[in-house]
Amino acid sequence: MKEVEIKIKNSFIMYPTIEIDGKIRKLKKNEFGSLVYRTTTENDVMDVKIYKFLEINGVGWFFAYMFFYIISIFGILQPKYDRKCIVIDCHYKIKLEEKNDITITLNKISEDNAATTIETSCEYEELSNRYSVDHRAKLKLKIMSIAKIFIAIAMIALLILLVDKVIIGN
Amino acid sequence: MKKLEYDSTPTPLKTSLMMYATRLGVILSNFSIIIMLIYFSSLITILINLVVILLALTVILVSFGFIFLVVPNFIDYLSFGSEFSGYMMEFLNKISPVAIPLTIFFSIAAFILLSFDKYKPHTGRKIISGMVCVGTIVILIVLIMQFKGGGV
Repeated sequence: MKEVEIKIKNSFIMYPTIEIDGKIRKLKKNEFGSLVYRTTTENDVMDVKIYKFLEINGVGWFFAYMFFYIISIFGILQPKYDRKCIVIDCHYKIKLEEKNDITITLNKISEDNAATTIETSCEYEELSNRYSVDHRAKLKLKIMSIAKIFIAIAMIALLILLVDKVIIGN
Repeated sequence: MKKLEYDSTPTPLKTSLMMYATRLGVILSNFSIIIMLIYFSSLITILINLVVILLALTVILVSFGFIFLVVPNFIDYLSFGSEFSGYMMEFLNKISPVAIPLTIFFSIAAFILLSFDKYKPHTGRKIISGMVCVGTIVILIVLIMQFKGGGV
């Protein structure tokens, strides 16, 4: 059995999804704020993926956005959407030894730098390692900001109609 | 500035639901905080009214009652504040059978929904939701005691 300890440093930069051997893992924080995953395996290679999902790319995003916009009183009571739409795409294949200490540090968001830096004594293959902008998500947010105006007008019109029928009508 | 490479990945159903649950949790938590603040602000209004009355008494005493010669309707100005807080209390008493259970439900639901988030711990918000829940239960107990004692 091979012992593996994976540390993810600076995860607060992105709050990414971490997938190890094809499964999304919930990593525990240690006293220094790094995310830690410990396991034992008989596999020779470990697949580590770090990526970021955006809420605006979610299932039924248009209806979800509208629903939350209306119930949060025209967006006043809801948290803001991530307008930068920056995503991380990082994929490592690590050849395992008997004892494996792997530290992956998330770098500052930049178009020139690699997204992460890996420190390990094991041999590894870097399949992808970059930050990128999700332009489709940005376009969706632009569409929604226009739709918000129409929704606000419709809601105000509805309110006026209700006031007119209920209060003035009586 | 050079544009970054195009990339767009659809978020899977499970992750989407988790993100939506978190957003709903934050909204419900904000609602519960606002309702709680309204109740506490009504309490503060009563305290402010007390301070105003004390100040007015001081003015009357210091001026030996001459304030009534300068401002004949001085008492009317004072009663306006207490009338307003009276209306406020009446309104809050009317809506409390709905508002208080709703606030407790919102804060508990917010706590549960925020626990689904795998990425952020939301510790501060969870603590606030807990405090709002406890605070609202205290208000509920006070109102029940008032009701049983035949109070306001």
